Amino acid sequence: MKKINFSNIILILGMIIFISMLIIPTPQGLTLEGKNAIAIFVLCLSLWVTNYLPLAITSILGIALIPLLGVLSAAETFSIFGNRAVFFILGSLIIAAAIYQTGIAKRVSYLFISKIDNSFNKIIFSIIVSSYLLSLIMPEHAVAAILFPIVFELVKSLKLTPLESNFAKAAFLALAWGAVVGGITTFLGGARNILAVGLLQNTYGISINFIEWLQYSIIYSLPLLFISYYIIIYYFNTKVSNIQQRLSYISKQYEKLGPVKREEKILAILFLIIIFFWMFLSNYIDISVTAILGGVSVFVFKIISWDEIESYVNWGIILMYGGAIVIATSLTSTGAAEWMSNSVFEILPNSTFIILVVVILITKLLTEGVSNVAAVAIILPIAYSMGDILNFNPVIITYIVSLTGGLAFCLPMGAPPNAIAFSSGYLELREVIKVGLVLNLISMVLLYIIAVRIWPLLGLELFI
Amino acid sequence: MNKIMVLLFSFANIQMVVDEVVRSINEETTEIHLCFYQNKDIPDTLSSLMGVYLGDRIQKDVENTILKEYFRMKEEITQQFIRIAENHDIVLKNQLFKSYSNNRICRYIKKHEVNYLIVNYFKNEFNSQKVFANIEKEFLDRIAIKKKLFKHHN
Repeated sequence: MKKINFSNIILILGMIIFISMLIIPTPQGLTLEGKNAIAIFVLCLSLWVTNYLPLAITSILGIALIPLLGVLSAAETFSIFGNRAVFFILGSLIIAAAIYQTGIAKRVSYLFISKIDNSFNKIIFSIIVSSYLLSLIMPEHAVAAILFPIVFELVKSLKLTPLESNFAKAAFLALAWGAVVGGITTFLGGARNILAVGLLQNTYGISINFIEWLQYSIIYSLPLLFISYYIIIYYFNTKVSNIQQRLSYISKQYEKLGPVKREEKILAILFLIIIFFWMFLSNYIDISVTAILGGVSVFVFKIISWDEIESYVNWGIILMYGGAIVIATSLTSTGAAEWMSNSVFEILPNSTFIILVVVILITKLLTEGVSNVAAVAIILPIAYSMGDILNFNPVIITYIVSLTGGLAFCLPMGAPPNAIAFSSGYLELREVIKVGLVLNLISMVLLYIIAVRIWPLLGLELFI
Repeated sequence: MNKIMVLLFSFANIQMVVDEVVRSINEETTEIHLCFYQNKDIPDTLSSLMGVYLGDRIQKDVENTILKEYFRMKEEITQQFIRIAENHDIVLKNQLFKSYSNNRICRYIKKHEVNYLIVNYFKNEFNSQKVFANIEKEFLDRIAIKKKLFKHHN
């Protein structure tokens, strides 16, 4: 029997709904612009899910269709693309490229991992913490790429074999999960965070600065980091003999890096200044401006060349994020998101608990299968409108969707660090899905408790 | 005369394969053919997944790490088989298939008069170079000699 290709079914369904939405009369309560915005949204959703087109191309297709179908004017559409979030991402990608180029992140990771004691738990702890900490300052996918060869060297020096070794499974999973959890904590770890903040500003005119984001996200990500660690050591607990002797290889690799280079020192100073501006001066200088100036400064001090930047940065990400923000904003500004959420409320009761659970659950399901940027761009506009009906604080909705949208623990397609960890060949998908589901479940319950009980104590109220 | 061919599509759970080879060796065994199927690139699925986010050079770094590691493992496994062959006074022959061709593998089996084929396969599109919808039907059923498949699933 021929295997059913779900991707093709989703794609065909998306096309049919897109064309049908354009042909059918405008439903009651929805404007023509809103109807067309939903048509574009469904088309892009099917393309994002199936990856029929590259994600960036789907995003620019959305940008082109929005003025073409009269959803927004061309001027409005392109001005949304020029959102400050997009420029923040641009600047931070350049800074991240400089961090990668100088090798400073690699040095810090080697130092951290080489200083560990001779036990399974401590090695896994050092990997997950290194991954988490680096993801606070640079994109999670770059962190996974930096740590990947180090973990491979560790696995090699311990003579671990693919699929057989629990130690290796734990090490690669710690690498991926540390980066994923770290990635939700700041604007730098995952650009979806700043994208969500950009959408919040476009929709409600409310801004969240760097330190505000950090203060609420870290309350969630830090316990989640430890929970991830304990799940890994619980499931993959094992012993390897002669660890200390074998790990001397890692120490030698660290020594091979030699003394700290001039570029590393300058970059470290520059980065501290940039972080200071982001954290304490964002009321005076917009974080996007600081990011761009930071990007320029790495050139001024000749830390990196343009050729290197071009080879390190995937510029398609900018198109992807810019397109996602345009498509999501078109849904809110035309009232399409409100119409969709009203339709949802015809099925669901008006309950705080149910709405929060549904938003968290759907975001989680989506982010495991599609790019987490797409997941946030798809869910956030509808979640805002649902929240409006129940008078939810849109800031809380932004956190809930963005934090959940960043946390894909099971599948390689859910997050780039997962894909990189799977590429090692040491992980078994079924096993990762099993432990990942446990972590997903705990992460959802934890987020609900923090949103309802902890954030209000810190001044972030659930309702307005 | 007994000739064993070990065809490695994957290094997953390799010890099971090694144990089977050692078990299968008898006084009539004269040759072990250690064959690797290994592309020069990483699988497309993985490459396209990473390519969404990573810049060319970072992606190349990751890919090179994977390839380097897999070729290192190939060397380690070869050394392990060299020791087995020496211990049993058997000839070890190495073969690397850089691209998949069913006919080529069949020709190799025929040419070298292999009696027993041991296959190690990991059905995983993220790190297996070759993924069959059904390895038994698409590959093994076409080979009319004694065979054993170690199949690992995701």
